[in-house]
Amino acid sequence: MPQPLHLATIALIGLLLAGSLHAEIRVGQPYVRATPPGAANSAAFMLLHNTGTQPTQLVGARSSATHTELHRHMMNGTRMQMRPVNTMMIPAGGKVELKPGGYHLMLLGLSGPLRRGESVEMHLNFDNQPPLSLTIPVLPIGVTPQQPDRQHHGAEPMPHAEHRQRTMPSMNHNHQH
Amino acid sequence: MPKRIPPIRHPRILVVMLLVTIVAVSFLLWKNRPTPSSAPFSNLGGDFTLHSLQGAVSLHDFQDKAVVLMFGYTACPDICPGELATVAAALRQLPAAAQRQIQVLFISVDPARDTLQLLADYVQYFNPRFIGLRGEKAQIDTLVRQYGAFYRFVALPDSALGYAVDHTARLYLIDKQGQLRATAPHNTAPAQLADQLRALL
Repeated sequence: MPQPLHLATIALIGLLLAGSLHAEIRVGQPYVRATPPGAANSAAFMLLHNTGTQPTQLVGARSSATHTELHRHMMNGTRMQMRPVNTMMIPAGGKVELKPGGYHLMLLGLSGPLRRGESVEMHLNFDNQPPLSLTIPVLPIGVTPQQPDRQHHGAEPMPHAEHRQRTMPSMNHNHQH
Repeated sequence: MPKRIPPIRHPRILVVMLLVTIVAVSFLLWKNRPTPSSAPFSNLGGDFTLHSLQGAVSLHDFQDKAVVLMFGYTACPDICPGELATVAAALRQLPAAAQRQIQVLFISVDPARDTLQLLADYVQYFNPRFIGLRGEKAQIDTLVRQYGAFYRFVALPDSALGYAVDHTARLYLIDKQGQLRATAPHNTAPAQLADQLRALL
């Protein structure tokens, strides 16, 4: 009886160690919002899933399109507020959803419209993870990758991630630009 | 004489009470009559004049139309475009005749960055009939107060955006008489908004 348990423990530790040696951040359903003519700014949205055992912070983003910052929308009653944030915390084994009305990567000062069918190269930097490079499709305004939904887990509401986002002290970290 | 008074007085009191009751019930029925004159907005809304690329635009220009009014700014990366896309999608769910009876007005709360040309290009991307409006700060201040809305500039020294504009993110639904009838959150589903628009016509 103890033998298989030990084996399972060793196997688990081995898996965790192996996991820690490479990127533990999975990116789901990334998209950039198309822009109306003349609009200077857009935003990129995605699901950031931390498969590791350590919390990770997104500390910066760089895109091929233009200057990019981490921002967050917040509703205060019926009032919409947008503020830059220094980091986005992704809890161990948890997710953060970048979505309209919440966290987003803000693309500032576009030189021209982003049109559906185009794509944007995005580089994400984390505090304790290797950087990630993504090619993100531009989707029409009002369309999200959840419809039509094939990656079922990605479309689920995530109350835990929401809760952690709200309690995250994000404004006073050192950050890099 | 004293003997006759009681039988006479009693019916009088009863008649008075009956009349008072009738008046009170009538008043309550009248007050709660089933008309859509949404009391919460009776002191909000009203006429205004701002500028579009085509010239001066007043609410009373649209007396034969229902009006959807919203506040926003073109530097807004997702809420404002999302809101405009929602209204455009809701309109597409209505018959063409109904669509022609609804005017959408997008009012900039960022006159320093939103030129008339930019506003026109921006809103017409969503629907060629949408109108973008701009005014001087004093005019916008008055209008925002008039509609019970809110906006303010917030300096963002650490952002290339320079400043953000916090603002009310809801839709103001105005009937053909120019009366504010309802508001809807910015993220109302298009089908639900289409129902609200039908109710305005």
